[in-house]
Amino acid sequence: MSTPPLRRPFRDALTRLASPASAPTSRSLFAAQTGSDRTLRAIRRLRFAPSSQELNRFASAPAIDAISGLLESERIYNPGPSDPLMGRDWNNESYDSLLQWWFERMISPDAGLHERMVWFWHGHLTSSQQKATRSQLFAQQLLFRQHALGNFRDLLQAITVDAAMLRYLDGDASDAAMPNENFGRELMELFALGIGHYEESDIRSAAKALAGWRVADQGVTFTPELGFDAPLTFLGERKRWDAQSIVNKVCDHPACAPFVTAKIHRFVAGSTAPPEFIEELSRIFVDNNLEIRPVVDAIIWGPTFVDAETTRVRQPIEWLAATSAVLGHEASTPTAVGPRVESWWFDQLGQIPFVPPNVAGWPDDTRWVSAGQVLARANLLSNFTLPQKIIDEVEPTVEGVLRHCALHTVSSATRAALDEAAANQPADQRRVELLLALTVLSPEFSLA
Amino acid sequence: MTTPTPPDQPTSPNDRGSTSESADSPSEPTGPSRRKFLGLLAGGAAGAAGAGALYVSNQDGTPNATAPETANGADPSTSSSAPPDSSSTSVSPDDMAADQTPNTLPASPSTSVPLPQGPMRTLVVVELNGGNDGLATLVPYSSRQLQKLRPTLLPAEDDLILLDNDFGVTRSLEKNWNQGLALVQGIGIPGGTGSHFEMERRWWSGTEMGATLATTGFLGRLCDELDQGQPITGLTLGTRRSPAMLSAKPVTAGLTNPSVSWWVNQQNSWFTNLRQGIETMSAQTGSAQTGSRQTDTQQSESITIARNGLGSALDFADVLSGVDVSNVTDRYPANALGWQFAIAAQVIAANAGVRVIHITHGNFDTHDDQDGTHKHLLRQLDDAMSQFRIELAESGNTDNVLIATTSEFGRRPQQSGTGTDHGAASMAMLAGPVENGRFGEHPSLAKLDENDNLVPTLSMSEFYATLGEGWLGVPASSVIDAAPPVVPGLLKT
Repeated sequence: MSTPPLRRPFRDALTRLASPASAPTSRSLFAAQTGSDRTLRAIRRLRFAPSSQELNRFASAPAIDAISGLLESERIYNPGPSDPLMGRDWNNESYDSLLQWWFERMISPDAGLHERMVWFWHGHLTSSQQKATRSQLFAQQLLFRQHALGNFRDLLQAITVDAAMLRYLDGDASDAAMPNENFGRELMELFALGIGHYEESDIRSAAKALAGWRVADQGVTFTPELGFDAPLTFLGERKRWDAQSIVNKVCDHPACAPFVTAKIHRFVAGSTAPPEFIEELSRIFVDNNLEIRPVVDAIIWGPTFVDAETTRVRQPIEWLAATSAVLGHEASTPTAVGPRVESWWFDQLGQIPFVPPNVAGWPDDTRWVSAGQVLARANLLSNFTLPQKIIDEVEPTVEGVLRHCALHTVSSATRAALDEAAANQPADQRRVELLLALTVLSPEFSLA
Repeated sequence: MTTPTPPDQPTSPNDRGSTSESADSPSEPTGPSRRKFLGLLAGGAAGAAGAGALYVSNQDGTPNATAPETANGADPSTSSSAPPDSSSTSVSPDDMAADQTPNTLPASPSTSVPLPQGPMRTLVVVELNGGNDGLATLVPYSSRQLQKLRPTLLPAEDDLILLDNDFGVTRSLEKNWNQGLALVQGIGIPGGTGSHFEMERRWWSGTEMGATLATTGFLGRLCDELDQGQPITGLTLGTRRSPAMLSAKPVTAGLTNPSVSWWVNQQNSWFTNLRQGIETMSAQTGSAQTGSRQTDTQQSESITIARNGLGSALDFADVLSGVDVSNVTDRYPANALGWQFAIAAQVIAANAGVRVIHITHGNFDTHDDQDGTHKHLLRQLDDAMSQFRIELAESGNTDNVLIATTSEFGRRPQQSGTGTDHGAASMAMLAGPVENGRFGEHPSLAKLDENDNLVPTLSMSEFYATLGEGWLGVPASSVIDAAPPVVPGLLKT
C-alpha cells in the first residue's frame, strides 16, 4: 500500500513540531545522539513492537523522514485465497493457536500501521468467541485485514453480513416476525453514528430490514421469507429497505463522519481531537468517499499526533507487544517466530483478543495504567527469563537500559527509581532484569 | 524477570494464574497515612502463587508458568465490590475519616438518608449469568399450570424443601436454606427483551427499559458514593471485570486471582528493589530530566494517573496481602466460584475498605438438559456460599454482610425439549441479616406476557434500591434513575 502525497499544511505543522523547542540540557545523555522523543513517540504509535535498533536509528532522523520511512516499509499481512493459512480449520485448533497467530503478526518487525488498524477494527466492530466460532472469528480477521485502511462503507457492509457478527449480535436468529434489535441498535449507537442521532423507531425499522440473514456451514445466506418486504421509515426516509440500503443510509448520515473519525483519532493519537480538527477530518473522510487511509494520514501528519502533552495509554496487548520487543521476543523458542502465546497472560492483563468485554470493545482509557494492571504486569515480568542475547547486549547501567528501550526523556521520578535500583542491585544480569522491569512498568513506557 | 519463582505454584481451584483487570486507576495520591492504615490491616503472609512466565521456557526448559484455564468466553464479566467494615479493628472510624482523600469529582447528594450506624456493611453480589430459572429454584410445585407447561421438568417433591402447600425450594440449596435464605419473587425488568446482552447491560448499568443506558455500572456508582479514600472500595472477582462495577471515580478494581501480588512482599532483595523502584517511580514531584523538553507542569494527566497507578498497586497489594489462597481447596469446592468466595471471605476479614464485591457464576443458559445443569450449578453455589458464610461467622461478619444474587432474566415457563428458552421475571436470593422464606408476590402462571413469559412483580430498580439504600445507606436517588422505594420487610435492619 503506498502512502499518498503529504498534505502541505500537515507537513508544515510536523516540521515545526519536529524541531527541538529548546537546547538539550547537560543531562540529556541520549537526546543529542538520537534526536527527538517526538519522533520516537510517533514510531511507537505506528508499530506494535518497534525494536530498539529501529527506534534508535529513526530517532536520529527528523520525524517526518522517520514516519514516511515507516509507512513505506511496512508489510501488509493480508493472506489471499491461496495462502496455506487458509487451509487451517481453526475450529479444530486451540484458542491459544489463534491468539498465537495474531500476536505473531503484531510483533512482526515489519508490521505497522495496517496491523494497528486491524486491532482497532476488532475493538470497534467487535465480535466475541462467546458467540462466534474460532473459524468465524478468523474469517472476520481477514475481513479487517482487507479493509483496515480501505473503505469504511465497504467494511460496514461486509461486517453487517459477516458470520461472526451475525452470531455475536443475534442477526442469525432474527426474522421479520420477531426482529432482533441487537445489531441495528449497535450499528447506529456504537459503530457509525453515536447516540442521539436516531430514534428507537429507527432501531425497530433497522431490525426488520436487517432480518433474514442466516449463518450456515457453507456461509452466510439471506432467506427472503424471513425478511421484511414492505415500506418502513428509517432515519426519516420511507421505502423498502434491505441490509445494504440501511448501511448506505447510515454511512450517508451527517453524524457518521464525525463519529467515525473521532474514534479513529482517539485510537491513533490517543486523545480527543479538538472540534475543528474533527471537522477537518470529517471533510477529508467525506471528500474521499469514506476511504479510511486519508483520514489516518491526516491524523498522523496533523497537529495532535506527536503533541508532547498528549500521551496515549498503551492497552495491555500493545504493552505486551512492546515489552516483548524490548525483552527479546525471539527468546523463548529456538526456532522462533515469537514467544509461545498463552491466553491466560491476556486474561491476567484483562484484555483477551476475540473476547471483548462487550460490544463496545475495550475501553481506551487510563484504567490500563491502574493498580491491578501494574500488579498483573509485574507478575508476568517476574517469571520472564531474559534471553542471553539481551543480557549480552544491554549494559547493566541506567543509561544502558534506557538506551536499549529508546526512552530518551524520562521524568525525575523514573530516573530516581532507576538510579536507586542500580545502586542497590549488584551489577550483573539481575540488575539488567530489574532495570528493564522497572522501565517497562514506568509511566513513560506505559504510555506511548 | 527471572528469579525467584514463587514459592509454590498456585494450587487454587481454578488455577487461574491470577490477575486482574482493573478498572480504574487509583485516586489521588494518598500519602503515608493511608499506607500506614493498610499496613495495620495487612495480616498474614502474601498468597503464594506464581503466575506463569511471560515466555514459556525456563532455563531448564521446563515451563514455569501455571497455565490457567484459557479464555473460553463463557462468562461475560464479573465484578463487584464490597464495603469494608471499619469498626472491627484497631483503626477507628475517625482515623479513616482523617485519611480521606479529597474528592475531586462532583459529590452526589448523600444527605437524604443517614448512613446506617454501627459496623460498616459489605454487599456481595453473585451474578448468575445466562438467566437463572426462578421456577426451578423456588418451585410452585402444586401449580396445575406449571405441571402442564413443564411435564417432564417439574422436580419430584423429594427434591424440594416444602415451604407450604404451594412452594418448595430446591434441595440443591439446602445448606444455605438451613443457614437462612430469603427468596425474593418475581424480579425482573418490566418490558425487557430476550437478549442476554441487552438485559445484562440493563442489570449491570441499573437502567430500566426505555431509559438511556447509564455509562457507569450500578455497583460502580454505589462505590463512588461509598468511597472514603480506601485504595479499593469495589472489587470484581472472576475472569473479567464486570461492567456492573464501572465507576466514575477510580474506586473499583478487578482481580481474578490475588496471587498477582505475590511478589510485592517477597523478602528477597530483587523484589524488594522492584517494590522500592515502583514506590519511587510513583512520586508525583519529579520534573522531567534527561534532556527534557517537558516539565512537570506540562505533564499530561495520563502520566499523573499512571504514577498514581504505580503507588496504588502497592496499596492494593497490601489489601491483598492478608489473603492467603494456598489452602482454599481444603475448604471450598475446587472451582472458579469456590475460589471467588474464598477470596471474598478473606478480603472482608481483612477489613481494608472494600464495600462491594461482585462474583460471577454460570452458565445458567439452560436451553437443554436443564434439570441436570441447573441442579449442578445451584449445588456449586450452595457449597461455596455456605462455606463463605461459615467464614463470615468466624470473622464476626455475619451481620455485616449481605449476599444478593442477580440474573439477567428467568426462563420461559413452557419447557422446550429438555430445557427452557429465555424468559422474563425470575427470582433472587438474599442471605445475611434476612428472614427465611419467600417474599413478595409470585408472578402469575395463568397470566403470561405476549411472549409467554412471567410478568415481573418487583422491578430491578426496587431490588437495587433495597441493596443500595436499604443495606448500604446510599440514597436510591443518587444511584438509580427512578429513585424507587426500598422494598419494606426484606432486610432485618
